[in-house]
Amino acid sequence: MRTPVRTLTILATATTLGLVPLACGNDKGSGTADDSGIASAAKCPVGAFEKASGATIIKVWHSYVGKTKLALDDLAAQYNASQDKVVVELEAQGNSYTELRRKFEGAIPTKDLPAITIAEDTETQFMADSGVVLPATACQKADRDAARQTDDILPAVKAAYTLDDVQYPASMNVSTVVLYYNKGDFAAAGLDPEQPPTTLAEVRTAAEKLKAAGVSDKPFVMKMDPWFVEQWTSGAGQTLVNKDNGRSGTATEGTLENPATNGAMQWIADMNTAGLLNAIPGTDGQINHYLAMLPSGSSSMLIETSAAITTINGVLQGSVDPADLGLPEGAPIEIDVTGLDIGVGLNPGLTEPGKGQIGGGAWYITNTGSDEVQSAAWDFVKFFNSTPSQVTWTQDGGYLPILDSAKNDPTLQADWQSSTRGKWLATSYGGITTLDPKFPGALIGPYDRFRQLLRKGLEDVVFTGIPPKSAIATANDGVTTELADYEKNRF
Amino acid sequence: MATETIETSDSIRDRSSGRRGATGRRTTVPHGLRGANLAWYVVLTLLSMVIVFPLWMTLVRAISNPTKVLLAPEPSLLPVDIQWNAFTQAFTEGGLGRPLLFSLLLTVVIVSAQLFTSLIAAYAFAFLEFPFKRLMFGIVVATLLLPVEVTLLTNIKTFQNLGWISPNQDFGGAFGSLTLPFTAAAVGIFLIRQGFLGLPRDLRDAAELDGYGHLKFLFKIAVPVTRPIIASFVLISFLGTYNQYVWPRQAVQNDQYNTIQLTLRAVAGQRLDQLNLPFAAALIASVPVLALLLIFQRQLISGLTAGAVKG
Amino acid sequence: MTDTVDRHSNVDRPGRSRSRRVGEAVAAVALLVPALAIFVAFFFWPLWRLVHYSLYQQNLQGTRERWVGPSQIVETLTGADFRQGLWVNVLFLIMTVPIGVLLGLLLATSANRRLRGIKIFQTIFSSTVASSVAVSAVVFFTLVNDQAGYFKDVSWLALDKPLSALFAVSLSSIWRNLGLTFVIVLAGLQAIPEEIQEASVLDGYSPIRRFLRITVPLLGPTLLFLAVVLTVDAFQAYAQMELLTGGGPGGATETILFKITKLAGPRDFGQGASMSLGLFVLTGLVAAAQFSVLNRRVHYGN
Repeated sequence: MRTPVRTLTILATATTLGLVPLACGNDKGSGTADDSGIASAAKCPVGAFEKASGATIIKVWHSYVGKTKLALDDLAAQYNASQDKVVVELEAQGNSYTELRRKFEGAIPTKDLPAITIAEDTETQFMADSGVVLPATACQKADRDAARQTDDILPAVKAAYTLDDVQYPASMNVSTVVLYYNKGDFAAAGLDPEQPPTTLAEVRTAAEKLKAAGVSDKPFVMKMDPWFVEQWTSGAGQTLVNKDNGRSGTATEGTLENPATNGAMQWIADMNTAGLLNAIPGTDGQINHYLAMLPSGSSSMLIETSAAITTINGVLQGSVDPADLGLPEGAPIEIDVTGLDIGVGLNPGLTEPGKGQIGGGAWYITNTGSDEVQSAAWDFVKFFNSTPSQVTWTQDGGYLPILDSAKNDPTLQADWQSSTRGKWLATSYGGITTLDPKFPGALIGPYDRFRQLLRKGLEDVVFTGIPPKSAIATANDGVTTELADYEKNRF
Repeated sequence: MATETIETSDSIRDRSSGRRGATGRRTTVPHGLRGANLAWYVVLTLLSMVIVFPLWMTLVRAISNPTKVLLAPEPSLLPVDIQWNAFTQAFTEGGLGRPLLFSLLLTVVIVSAQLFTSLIAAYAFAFLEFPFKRLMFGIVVATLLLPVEVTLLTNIKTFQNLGWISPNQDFGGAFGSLTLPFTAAAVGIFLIRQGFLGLPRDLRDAAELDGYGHLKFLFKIAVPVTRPIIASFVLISFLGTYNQYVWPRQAVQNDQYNTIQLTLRAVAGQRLDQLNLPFAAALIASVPVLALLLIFQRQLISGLTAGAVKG
Repeated sequence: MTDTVDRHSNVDRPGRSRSRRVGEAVAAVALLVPALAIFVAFFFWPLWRLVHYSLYQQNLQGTRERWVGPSQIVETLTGADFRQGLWVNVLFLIMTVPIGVLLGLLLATSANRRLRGIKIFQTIFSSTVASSVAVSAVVFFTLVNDQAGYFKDVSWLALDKPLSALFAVSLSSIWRNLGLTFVIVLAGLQAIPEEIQEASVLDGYSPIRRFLRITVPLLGPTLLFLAVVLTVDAFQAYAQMELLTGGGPGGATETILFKITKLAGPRDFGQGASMSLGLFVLTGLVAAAQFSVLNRRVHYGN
């Protein structure tokens, strides 16, 4: 077919010639002036929805799965049933924060945003820079009663989400890293099932014993999620980026080449070479690290988010219906049908357990909706922050209570002392009370890139055998470049 | 090739009254050489088992009790504690019903559109004379250089600007962005043009004398005569559209409008305690195309191989 | 795809009046407009826009853009990310195409014989035509998932090592394409005239020699066509990676297309567009090879 080839040449030439006008390109500046605005001057139209004639519909975007999602469904249903001026529509936007973030980012130019979006803890700086967020501080100033609701918020949590004296998210879901371990396996290896390891060194010793006893082949399983490395670094009081972790000014360099990060990565590398580490690739939507704790898997210890507590607890219960046992719907079942006997301990740290940074997600109200929508969103968040909702959210959602009033609630306390999941949650809670409000975690604009780089470093160390020091150096250089690129994108 | 094909009087008789195999060729039952035949049966059975094995494992996981599977120290070849509820649960909990219907709707619409645009374009290329004919045909050919993956980003942007792709997209937006880019297909134009070119000249002349206009000739004469080729195209178009993943993955941002292939992904990531659902879903998703394959095997195969064999 | 003589052409017909020619041209335009409009709107114009976007950078919110020039294209296509994606595509190609062709040959020669019930085997062999990329990925999850798969302890399928992860994904593609490769090679086999087979038998060729000296060379064009089909499929690889490995470990199974889908946000759009252009060039090369192969085949005396 000679003809089409010739035609193609013509087409190709035409395309190339067509590039000429493009070479005389110019700045296509459209849009308004810098629209991030001055956050503290933002106005929160409290109560506007009440004056509207009909009901205001607000959309809430989230990426929860499992029991957490069911808990959110529950709360939204309760709110909708309790009044008729606001209708909350929950929309699950994927299985992970990353997916949700991508959708949100893609929707920003269109300004077609949900009333509330739940973003990962790392996106604080980005959300502040995006210019589409209505800061909670504005609403707290306009609505004194509601402000008192969150007066007893944990100081470290508040500090984590405050930039330049402005608190951006209206509510937060806090989780921390905990150690899940198989008590049965521990007993079989001669370890005390009630004394989980508290430092990385102790994890190593326990792993060696478990392997030597033939109980598990690769006793310690860990998803290669950079979050863990951050927790260990922050837990040791080290910064991730300069300018005081981005809190005293915009960060310009990574500070990953520090003893804590090096120590953590080296520990991972050593565990790997000794065959004690079951490394799971840190990809989105990964569940293999959970599967590894099952009899068909090869591990006995897992570090993961405390937010998985209720889901893991659900798996242990199998598909037993509370009604079968004569219990009311949703009641915790104290049967472990799987016989796995899992225990929960604080995140083993470099030197002490339970240290780290605030993790989880936060609720942001967007400012692109009408006054009715924004005020309705604030109203729903107030409902969410109320003590009964927070108790439900903790018990069923698996997140930790950020308000003292919720933590001190008698129902919650009773559950924390009696049920398995309650005890696990109580243990996890201990991990966030010790956090220093002056060192709550980093503020990084391109946090997603930061995490990608750190994850690549982790995976390179474990799957490709690159020495930790050089993997960290590569990651750190990448972080510095990304920080610079992020600033270039702000025009 | 084991069977001898020397023309004896026996085989000539067999040939004239022989049976037809799957691809239309006559087969004769070979006489003799039992040993070699047995060997080939063994080979064929082994190969079949290799091909079917992954599907077997999928079926096993779909009908096994998920908790028991999770707890088993070693994965097994046989179902554990058989339960069939995964197939119904795929619809009730996995929400497979809506995407399945949506996918079937999309496929029917797209295939019909492709058929229509290909028919009329092929007619023009096969029967009409007009300036720049070669150039136009070249454009059609050139689209083969541009699979949907290459222009993925900018096509998405086009629909985003229209508001058809966004997390808030409505049915119209989802439907439009999933169908519009695929309403024309170069493959269809090629295949059908080929078929038209094979029509005898006299047919066209006779029709003209009888006063047939273009469309009348097209739909009343050309199409019925080239039905086999058209059927083949329809089948491969159906197959390709139903199995699409890349474009729907980017175009659908509102989970309500997931296609069946996207739902497989959604179900696979969801519930740790229900690991039989994704496998049941995969099997269910394959049913429509498997049915097509079994019913229209010959036409489907001839569609897939058009281009492989000169002719 | 042979270009037969345009025997329905009216060009040489005497007495073709001008008004008739115009009428035909008008009809042709009307009949071609739908298809061509779609092609322009969704194939050519977006390609043009790709060039534009790869020369510009967008701001954080995606509301403004500014000129950065061809340096963005050059940097992206020579950068580590694209190179890794290209390498993954090439490796994937090497892992899927030769094996695919060989297996197709094996299946087709086994099933191209006159045995009772051969039709059943032929149907089974062609059955994977029905499985989509998503289905085949889920199906292979039962085999290669490293915690719960049947072959989880097989080291050359391990999902946590770069090469073996890619190989595991390749297997799912090879399996999925078995039906197609079988069908194509079978058609090629059956197009070989029986006289040639019979002649070689009469000449005393042993079955193996017949196969190697006669069958395979005659199958050449078909096998080549098959190789091209599989190559094109390899360059479009994305879904199987997304579902089986998520691109891991460490991006070792991220094809170019996979990377492009990750670069769709405002901040990365320029790079995504540049990579898309790179993919276009690669696809163009493959298609050009396809055309030249088919061209050559047209001229084979057959």
